[in-house]
Amino acid sequence: MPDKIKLLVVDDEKQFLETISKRLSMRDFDVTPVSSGEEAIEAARKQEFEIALVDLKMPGMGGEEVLEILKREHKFMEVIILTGYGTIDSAIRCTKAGVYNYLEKPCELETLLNVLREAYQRRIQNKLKYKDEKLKGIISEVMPASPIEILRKLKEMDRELK
Amino acid sequence: MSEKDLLREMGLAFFGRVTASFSHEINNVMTIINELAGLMDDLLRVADQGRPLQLERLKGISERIGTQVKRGESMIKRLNRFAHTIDEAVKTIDMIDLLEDLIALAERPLTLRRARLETKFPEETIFLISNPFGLQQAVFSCIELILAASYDNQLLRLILEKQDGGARITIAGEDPIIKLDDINLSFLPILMEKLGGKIEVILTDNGRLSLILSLPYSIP
Repeated sequence: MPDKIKLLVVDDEKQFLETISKRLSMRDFDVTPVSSGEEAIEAARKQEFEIALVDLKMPGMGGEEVLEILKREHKFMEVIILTGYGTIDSAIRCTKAGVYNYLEKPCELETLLNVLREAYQRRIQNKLKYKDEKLKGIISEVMPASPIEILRKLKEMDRELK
Repeated sequence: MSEKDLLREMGLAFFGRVTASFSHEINNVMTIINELAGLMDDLLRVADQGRPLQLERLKGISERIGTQVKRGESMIKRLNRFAHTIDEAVKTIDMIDLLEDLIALAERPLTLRRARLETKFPEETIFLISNPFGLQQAVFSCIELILAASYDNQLLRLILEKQDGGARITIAGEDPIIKLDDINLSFLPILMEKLGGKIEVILTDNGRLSLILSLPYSIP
């Protein structure tokens, strides 16, 4: 049985958080729900998440700040903003900060699922691209080093990408 | 800009901020109902596929939908009451009712800053003949001003007292402030003058801010 996709869901509205987490858990997702930006950052530092679904307006640390920190600290994590309070300005700021998509509440589950699956696809593509570039870099760096030297570098790279 | 224009502009801005905040909250309620209805669908689909129908769970979801509907209704009623505060320029106002409605308006801005509001009202209400929209704007602006000037987790106190010839409303922050919003500070005395009253700003040595609104029994 394939692993479920590890999803971090961040929203201060507890009823919404509980219900959306249940619905996504019934599908392909291993969901960790948290109700604040601060909890989200801490959770992401303790375990790896593949995608984060983040509310924009929250008490304390808001969604934009969560997005910036998650993208800075977790190279391959894709972040989706889900908000009932969307403006063009915040959509632009989020896009510049690397958001995968910016959805408005209420959002049909089918739409959300499609966006989550596309985000996961992009994550895999980015990882492969990074691996490929790293590999090219190693090869050009170690040539004309010995085969053992090359193997050692490749092993290091593989460990890093786990 | 003339004082009249400033009052009109600040009044419109206040109206816009409050209605935007309420519409956001109502949208939240609709979103929750949407998800709960979706969860019900999910459980029914699972039952269709042969698994036992989880009746207790469905009942729980149905109750939660009912709770959210009531929550939405309450918000819409409050929004409607707020919208109607501009109907009459001068009327007899039950001050406790007005402040309780205002506390509902301020709920979201307070939550976003993790602030709390404690109230102290007299046992018997105070009636004033005044402009209900202007009064709510004055008190709400004081709350916004203290929030804007404070760190998160501020404790605010809202006190209503009888005063010779009228009433006194004190809005105070328990924790020291960090900065003052100049624009709002200059607008409030103009608004209070229009309401026939005045505002006193007290900043203690340890940085606590209190805004005291004195209002006459009847607007001139």
